[in-house]
This record gives sequence, structure tokens and C-alpha cells, in this order.
Amino acid sequence: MDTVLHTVLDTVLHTVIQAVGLTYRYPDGTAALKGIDLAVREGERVALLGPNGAGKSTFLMHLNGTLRGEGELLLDGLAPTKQNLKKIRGLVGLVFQDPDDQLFLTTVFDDVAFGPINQGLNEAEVAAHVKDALEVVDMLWATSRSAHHLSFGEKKRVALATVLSMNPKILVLDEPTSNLDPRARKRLETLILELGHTMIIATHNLDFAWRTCDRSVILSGGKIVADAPTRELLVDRELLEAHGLELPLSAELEGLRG
Amino acid sequence: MDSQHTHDDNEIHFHDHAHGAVTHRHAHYHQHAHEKAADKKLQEAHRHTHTYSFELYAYADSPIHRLDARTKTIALVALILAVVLTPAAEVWRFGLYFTAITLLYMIAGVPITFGVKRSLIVLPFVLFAGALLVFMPDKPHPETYNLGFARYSITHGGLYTLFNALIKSWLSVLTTILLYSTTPFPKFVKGLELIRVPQVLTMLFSFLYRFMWVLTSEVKTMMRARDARAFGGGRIWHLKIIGQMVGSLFIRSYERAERVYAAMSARGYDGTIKTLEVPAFAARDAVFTVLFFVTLSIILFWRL
Repeated sequence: MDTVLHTVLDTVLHTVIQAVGLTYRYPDGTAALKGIDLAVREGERVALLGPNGAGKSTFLMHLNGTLRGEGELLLDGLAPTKQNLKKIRGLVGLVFQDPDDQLFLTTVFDDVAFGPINQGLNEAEVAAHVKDALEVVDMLWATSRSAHHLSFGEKKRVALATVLSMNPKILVLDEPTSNLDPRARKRLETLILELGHTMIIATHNLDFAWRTCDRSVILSGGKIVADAPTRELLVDRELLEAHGLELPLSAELEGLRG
Repeated sequence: MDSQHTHDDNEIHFHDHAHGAVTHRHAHYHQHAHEKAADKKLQEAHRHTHTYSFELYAYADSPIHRLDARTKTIALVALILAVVLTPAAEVWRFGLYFTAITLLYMIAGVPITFGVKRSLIVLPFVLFAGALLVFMPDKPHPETYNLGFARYSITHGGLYTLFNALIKSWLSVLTTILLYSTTPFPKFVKGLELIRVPQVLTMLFSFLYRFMWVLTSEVKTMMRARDARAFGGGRIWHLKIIGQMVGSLFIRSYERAERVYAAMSARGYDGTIKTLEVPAFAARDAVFTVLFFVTLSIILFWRL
């Protein structure tokens, strides 16, 4: 009894994302999310998998209050209401797929400083936050560069720094590996493993999910159809193929070995 | 490269340095503890390029560069107004304007040739718009010059009007070039904001600056895609394709704008662009403004 209570309490206290029956309809009537139930604990890295049009991006947009659906959603205990919006944006760092959308100012410094300045930090604090964030992604050397002179992989890392500088608790990454060459992808992988944040990573790269996330969730047709430890879920060929995914090479190799 | 650093810790800082012969100022970072061992790293920190070639001198340093962006913007508007109000017949006044502008270029350390070369861009526009002006009859100057064909002659008055348009637009552009060669674009936009230019406009400028390049590369991609598939075909058909490309560029930009907005609000944007430095007017701004307006009044109002 005690252990059950302990588990329940532990879960409640350390849940940073709590969605219950979350639904969302686009203005044109298309139902994008049809009742999402998901609880993510602090420090967990969750891969969000699923075919194109499954509602992954729509769901991610809910996690920082850009979109608001029906149902319950708590982010570190806060509902995404208008009053909480500012707090939530500091709490959840959302990195978009295309770094050219994320980097809209004239220099890397300005872009990384944009969030902290909006948070109302003073000049010295902003500079310190920018330095720390750029150091983490190993892009400090590019402080005064303009985003468009960077390589795609470098832009991706700076895009990550633009939210790291806001000291978020939760990182939400939309397709972090798309268009990256293997070296840049490897680098990002290492970086993600080093960061201690709670993360939700939407990706089509199942090998990447295999190596970075302990838990995977398959979103298909606006519903969560599977939620399990990555190494259990990504070896289920039938389940994966039923939702337009395929067995990752990592899983196949694992199978060969075992 | 300038190696005089007046700070002693590993922080992001500002200092002057040079590459490509132009000394300028930027946010920088380099590790001084390893400076000697890793001189290469220091060079790397400085190996940045400026956003656009038109900004070659924008980050340099001179008395004009140090002026507040607002001072320079107001001076520019005043000068353009004065030039426009000057009677075309009094050519010597334009000479004086040109001399004054050249003087400002010299103080700013921007070669006048840089400005002149870039200002020639106005010629086709003015000539195109004013091509018909030269045929307009004009009462105070009834002289005409026969072209030797057909029944048309160029009128003296028409030539005058064209000259008027040409010299005024050219001087205005020459001054505008000096403004953007002495003011980094972000500062210029901030200045506009502080003199109460509507924020919709100022943001439009700053996005134009950032996405100019993204858009041109999108256009290039589309052109390449077209060239890869377009063989032959008539001129009309080609024009149609270009029309469709313009349309698709519009849609793409529109969608990008939505995504950029989402990325901005995700980082706490609430409708006002906040910036770190709030520039302050200095004594030099007052001195410059007084000198500038006195000179301008003399050129505009002096009677011979």
C-alpha cells in the first residue's frame, strides 16, 4: 500500500507535462488531436513518432501555448492560460524545424539574446546567458556572425541556443535531425545526451530516437497509439508498419546480435 | 587585426578590429587565457563577414559613425527636403550640396567613390520615368532642339525638368548611402522606433533586412528548378511561368512569416521589440545638428 502511494505521489510531484483528453480542431474543422493522454516526468526524454500529418507539430505547438485545445494540459503545474503564457514560454523551449524561421535577427548574438531580453533581464545577465547557451552548443565563436553565413548544422545548433538562453526546464524539438549530415547529427546526439532537460523530440529518424530517448510515443491519426520504452516499442515491426514507420536499423542489428 | 584589448575576462565584449582594411566594432568573444597558444582561434573569432556588401563601412568608426542614429536620420530627411526645395536653375547650390556631402563622406572615412558608384543605381529609374519629360513644351524656355527625324523636338524646358529630377534624386541617394554606411542597420531601425516611426514599419525594415537573403535564395532555387525542366516554349509561356513563380514566392513568404511569428512568440515576444542598448544623445549630436542645419540653411537661402 505504502509503495503504491509513494509511486502515485512521486508521479504527481515530478510530472512536468500532463495532458488529459487533449483535443484540437483547426479553424477549418479538421480534427488534428483526438484526445491525447500523456504524462511526462522530469528528466525524461520522449521521442514523439508518427507519420506526416499525425498531429505531431500540432501537439508540440500546444506545449508552449501557441495553440490551445480542449481538454486538460498542465505544464509544470501551469495551465496555458493567457496569464501563465509568459511563464510557460520561459519554461518550455520550442525549437522549430527550419532554423531560418528561428533565427530572424541580424546576428547570432541578437537571436540568442532575444528570449532573455523579452524575459526582462538586464544587459549583463543577457550577455551571460547568451555566452552560456552558445558555449553549450559550441558556437561561441560565431557570436558576431550573421545567421545566413552559417552552415545548416551550425544554424540548427544556434537555434537550440536561442531557447537554451532562456533556461527552460523542458525542451521541445521538432525534427532536430532533418537535413543534417551524419557528422552534424552525431554532434547533436551527443549534445542532447549531455543536456539534462526534460525533452520531447518529434522525429522521423528512428535510429536517432533509439539512441537518444528512453521512451517513445507513437502519434497516429491524432491519437496516441503506443507509449512504451523505446527499446520495446521500436522492435515491434507490425506496430511500426501499421503506422507508416519502419523498423530502425539499430533494432534490426540488435535483433541480429541477440 | 587590432590586438589592443581593454578587458581582461572571458566575456562577450565589444572592441574595434579590422579586416578587409575597414576597422569596425562588433560583439566579440575570444578566450584570452589561450590567446598565444591558439592565435588561430582568435582569428576565427574575428573571421566574420558582414551581412551584405552594402554594409562594408557600417561598422567602422568615425565621428559620423558615433552620432546617434536619430540625429543622422533627421539630418538625412532635412537634407533631402532642402535639396528638393532648391530651384533647379541655381545649379551652384547643387554644387555646394555635393561639396557638403563629400565633406561628410571624408569625415566618415567612406570613399566618395563608394557612394558615387552605388548611387548610379538611380539613373535608370529616373531616366525611365523622365524619358518623356524632355519632349514637354515649356513657356519660360521655348527653345527646342530638333532631333533631325520625325516631328519631335527636345525642349529646353523639358531638359531642365529632367536635369532637376536627376540631380535631386542623385544627391538624395548619395546622402542615403552615407547614412547606411555609417549606421548599422539594427541601430538605424532602433533610431526610427525612437523617433516614433510606427513599429509596423520599423519591423518591416528589420525583417526585410534579415529575409532579403533567404528570399533571394528561394528565388534562385525556383529558377534552378525551372531551368532544369524548361526547354523551348514561347515567350508568353515563359512569362506565365514567371508569374506563377512570383505567386508561389508570395505564398512561401506568407507561410514563413507565420512560422517566424510562432518562433518569436515562443521566445516571449509580446508585440514590442525590446533591445539592450537604449542609445542616448550626446553633446556631439547637438554640435553636429547645429553645424548641419546652419550649413544647410546657408546653401538653401543664401542670396547672391
